[in-house]
Amino acid sequence: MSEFPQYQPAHEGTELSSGDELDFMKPNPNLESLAVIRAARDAHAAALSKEAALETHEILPVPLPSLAEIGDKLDETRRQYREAA
Amino acid sequence: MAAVFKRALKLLIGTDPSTRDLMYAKKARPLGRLTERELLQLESEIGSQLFGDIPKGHRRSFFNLDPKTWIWHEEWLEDGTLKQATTRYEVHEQGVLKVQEGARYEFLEGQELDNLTLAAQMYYERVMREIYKRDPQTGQNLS
Repeated sequence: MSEFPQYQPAHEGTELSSGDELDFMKPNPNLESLAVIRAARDAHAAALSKEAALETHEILPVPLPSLAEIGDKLDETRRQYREAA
Repeated sequence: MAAVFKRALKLLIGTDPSTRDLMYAKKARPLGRLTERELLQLESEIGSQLFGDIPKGHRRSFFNLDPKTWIWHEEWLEDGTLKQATTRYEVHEQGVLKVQEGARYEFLEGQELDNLTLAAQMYYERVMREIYKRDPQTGQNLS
């Protein structure tokens, strides 16, 4: 049987009475509901993240430079070309 | 090319349009020997292509003038008269200021800001690869 990690209540008011044993095999309504909530929350976050990525074009594999960065890089590139000429 | 267009182009680009194409012949004139103004003209050629087909009789320029300034210039003939419009986009810490002749200054927001940012990113990608032959991410030579 796997050893259950140390219990750390996520919210105040969650208490364990002495003698309670927690393990993965034993049904635990609190943990089941927590898992459901976490799964729903993760799915929601993933959906939001995908939407945001599509809207802001961040779906590209590398972050795109800002307007200020682009201006600086172009200016520097031109300067280098002029110096190399 | 109509004389009026030649004069307008000369005013805009500062050179005789009939000789302008020669500047783009990279083999005849190595890129490294171009002036900064000529480099900007090359960049503007790419910039003008970012927004789809240019209407017949129109001329469009879009380029990065300096680290803080982007220029959109468009000119066309209307009833035999040359019309033109220039918009300057100034990059400030608090946002991008849109400056047009005869119009009040305003900071870009919403879709217009998104469109400018995306256009600048596309411009940067193409200019770095096609003119300077550099990797846009690293700035290193592609060859």
